[in-house]
Amino acid sequence: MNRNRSVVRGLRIGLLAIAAIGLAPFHAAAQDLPESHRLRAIPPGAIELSAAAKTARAGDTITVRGRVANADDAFAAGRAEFVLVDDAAAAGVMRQTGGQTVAACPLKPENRAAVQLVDSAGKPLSYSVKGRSGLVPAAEVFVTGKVVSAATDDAPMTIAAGGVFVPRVGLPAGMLLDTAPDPAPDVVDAKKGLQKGDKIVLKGRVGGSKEPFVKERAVLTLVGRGIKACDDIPGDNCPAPWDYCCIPREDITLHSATVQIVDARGAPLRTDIKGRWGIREHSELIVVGTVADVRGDAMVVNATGLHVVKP
Amino acid sequence: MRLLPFDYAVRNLGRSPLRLALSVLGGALVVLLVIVAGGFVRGMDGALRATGHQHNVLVMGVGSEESVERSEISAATASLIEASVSGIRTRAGVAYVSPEVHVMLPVRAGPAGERHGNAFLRGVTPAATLVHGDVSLIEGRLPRAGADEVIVGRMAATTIGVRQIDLAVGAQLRIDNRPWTVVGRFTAPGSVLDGEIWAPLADVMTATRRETISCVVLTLDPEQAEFEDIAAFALMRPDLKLAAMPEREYYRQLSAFFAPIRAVAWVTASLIAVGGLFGGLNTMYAAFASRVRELGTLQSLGFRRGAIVVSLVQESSLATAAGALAACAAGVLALDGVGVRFSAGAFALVVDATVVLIGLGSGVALGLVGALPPAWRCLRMPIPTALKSV
Amino acid sequence: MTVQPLIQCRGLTKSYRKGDTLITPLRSLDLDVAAGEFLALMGPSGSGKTTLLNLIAGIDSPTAGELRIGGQDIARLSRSRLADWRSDNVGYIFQLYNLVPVLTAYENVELPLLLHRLSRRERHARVAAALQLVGIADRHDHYPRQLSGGQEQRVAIARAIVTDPKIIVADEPTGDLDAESAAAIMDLLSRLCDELGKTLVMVTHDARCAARARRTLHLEKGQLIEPGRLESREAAA
Repeated sequence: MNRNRSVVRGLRIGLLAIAAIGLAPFHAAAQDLPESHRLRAIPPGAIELSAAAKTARAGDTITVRGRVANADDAFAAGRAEFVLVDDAAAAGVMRQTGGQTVAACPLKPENRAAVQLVDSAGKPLSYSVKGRSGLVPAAEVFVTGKVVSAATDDAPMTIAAGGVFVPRVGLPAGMLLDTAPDPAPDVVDAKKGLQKGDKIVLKGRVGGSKEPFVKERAVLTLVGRGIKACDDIPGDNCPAPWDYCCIPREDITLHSATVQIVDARGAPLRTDIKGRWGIREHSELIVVGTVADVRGDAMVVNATGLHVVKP
Repeated sequence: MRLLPFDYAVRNLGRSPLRLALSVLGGALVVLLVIVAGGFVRGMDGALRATGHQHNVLVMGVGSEESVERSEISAATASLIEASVSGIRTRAGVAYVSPEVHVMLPVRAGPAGERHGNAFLRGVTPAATLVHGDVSLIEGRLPRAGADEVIVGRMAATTIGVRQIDLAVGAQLRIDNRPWTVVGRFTAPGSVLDGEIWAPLADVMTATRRETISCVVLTLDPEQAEFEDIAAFALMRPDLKLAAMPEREYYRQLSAFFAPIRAVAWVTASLIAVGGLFGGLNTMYAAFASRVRELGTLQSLGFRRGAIVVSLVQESSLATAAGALAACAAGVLALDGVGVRFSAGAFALVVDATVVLIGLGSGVALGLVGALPPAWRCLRMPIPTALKSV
Repeated sequence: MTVQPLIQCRGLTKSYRKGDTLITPLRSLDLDVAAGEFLALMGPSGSGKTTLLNLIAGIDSPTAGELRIGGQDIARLSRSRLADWRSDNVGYIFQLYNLVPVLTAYENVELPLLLHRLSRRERHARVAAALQLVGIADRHDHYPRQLSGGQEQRVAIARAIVTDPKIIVADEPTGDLDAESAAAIMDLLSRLCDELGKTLVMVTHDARCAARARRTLHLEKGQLIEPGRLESREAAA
């Protein structure tokens, strides 16, 4: 009898071991969002969630940026659904709560959206996506998908997500400024007389070289309107008009500043600025921040806020 | 379908020795041209793609990303990068950071300086041998600073357009009207560095009366740093006016710059191949047309037209394949490794298995395509008409 | 019980267009040829005799009418099936021999056998027998250029009979030979009929050759001339 029991126990352990080995790859894969719904890079043309909520109608295809709600109820249990919140609105709530985890409902419906990862039949996948591909409360997220129901006064928008991208490193909450800081002087004027540590607001266009961004580093160069970009010159067909190739290097240095978003150690965050809020070469930005370094005419600014000037 | 004996195709080749010679020679010429074009493209592409280490980063002046020769950056850049960026590879405490001057200068060689051309001169420090690990000294020694000494690449003679003996160890050169002595020869197989002349950085700066360097080549420790760290450094030090680029990317870009030349090589080869094809068509038509009655007889015996076409294609392909084989042998023996000059230095024609296969393929294709239209034209006529033909 | 003829032509017509003119070398011809018969076709140039021979040999197709050989209407066969039919049923002897110059006498005779599923040994036996029959076995390794006209035609006859076909067609088989060689070839052809029972259809201009046939038919403007009409014409001449 005892012998039988030990045989059964042995078999059970063996089966469990086989199951564990067999399931190991699935377990590893389960850490990620399904391949069909995972984007590899920031989707182009992403706008802020609240801006999309104001205009999107059911059936529209939209690409939005937001954050997973920093709340206990951000993820639905047993189905692939999470609450996406507007970055600026969430930053306001965070300031009020001191960063405490709260329910997502205090935000107005236009600042929230229910994002569902659906199958080909339009039904939400039957598991929680919490923790997959870095999808955690407060994570910065890009979602592209179809509006199932538009936002109303009472209910937030629902999005059937076709693709989700979670940057490895997110930008700090509230980095995007909805309203343009005023006054916002041109780069060359803003730089005048400032020393390391001074507050600064400056306005300019992304450019100054062929590659004014660095991939996976929150760094860019901004050039003021005091010098002409190639496409400001009639008849110029320069393929990269933001590189100011017709302007002497010294003038470019005088009229430009390097802008970076840094981590606690002062190193640029390992994430792209290009692609966020539609920012690309030649986009006009107003940057609020602190002077990090001054060497002659060259200046480096640590940004705390960015405003994208509408073209 | 029952085929005609292969022997029939082989023996038909011997019917007109002149025609056979024309087919073989035509095939050989076309294939040889294809091999030259293929060897040229693969050689140039290979040289540009093989240049540059996977973890090497080229730091140069912003705006000079397309040509390092135009770049001018502060001579202090190398030490600044070394001090500011962590994650640069080191060996025995020496960082893999190589400040360099790249310059194209006129060179006179030969006993009386009678042979001349332009050479790609690279001013280097000993760190250059760290970052350019593929470079190895094959003769002599490294140059001493302050002694106006140079080492020359294996293909440098081709780049300049002088004889190998003019660049032998001990030879005197006049670079930009200043005497230099060759003290060593190096090689960097398959890369454009093979066509360069290297001299001590300080000597090149003195000779060219410049205070700036062209670039800094550095090797990253892939476990500690990424290219983006150097790119970010370049942006965060706008005062230095730097731009960074992976070294391989720089040469890939150069390779793209030469794409039209490669296209011209292919187009020329294709045009000549088409010319050869028309010549082949003509020869084959003459060969088949003289045998129309025989082809009719074969049909009257019961051989299907398809079987006869196969035999004619065998015959034509055999002739061109023989030419192709001869051309491939000539290509491998006489063309492989032949130096070719171009503006970014020199490279060797590469007649490798791929090029040989392309050559053989084009030879067989020439035989195939050259045989089909005339075969069809001859077999299209009714059998009684064919039997009546003289 | 009537014996079915081996070759049966009914309303056999062949026409083709040359520019704007429609040429009809053969017009509604009716003809029966019994198995084992030696038939000579005579007539002036352009009378349609070679066209008729080509139709019987399956290397040309009639425009209208029926052509049954061994009970099969060969006018309905596709081009490739007709090629197979030729290799099984017909041996063709040409005026100019049409040997393949790059092949030896042996290889020329072997050529039609390559279309049949035979072992090398079987082929050898058949080729040797055929060459023996035509009396040229000692020249088996000679190329056509090394043979006289009569010898070439013997090789061509060996090639025509080597597959043991039902029908042998010969287009002016002696047209290019001297009188002595021509007589020898005619002896040979007669033997094929008499000893091997082959059905032989021969086109000739030579009355002496035609006289060796069991039956001679005359064609004119694509039609057969009745024997009575022919005799009266000859008498008038």
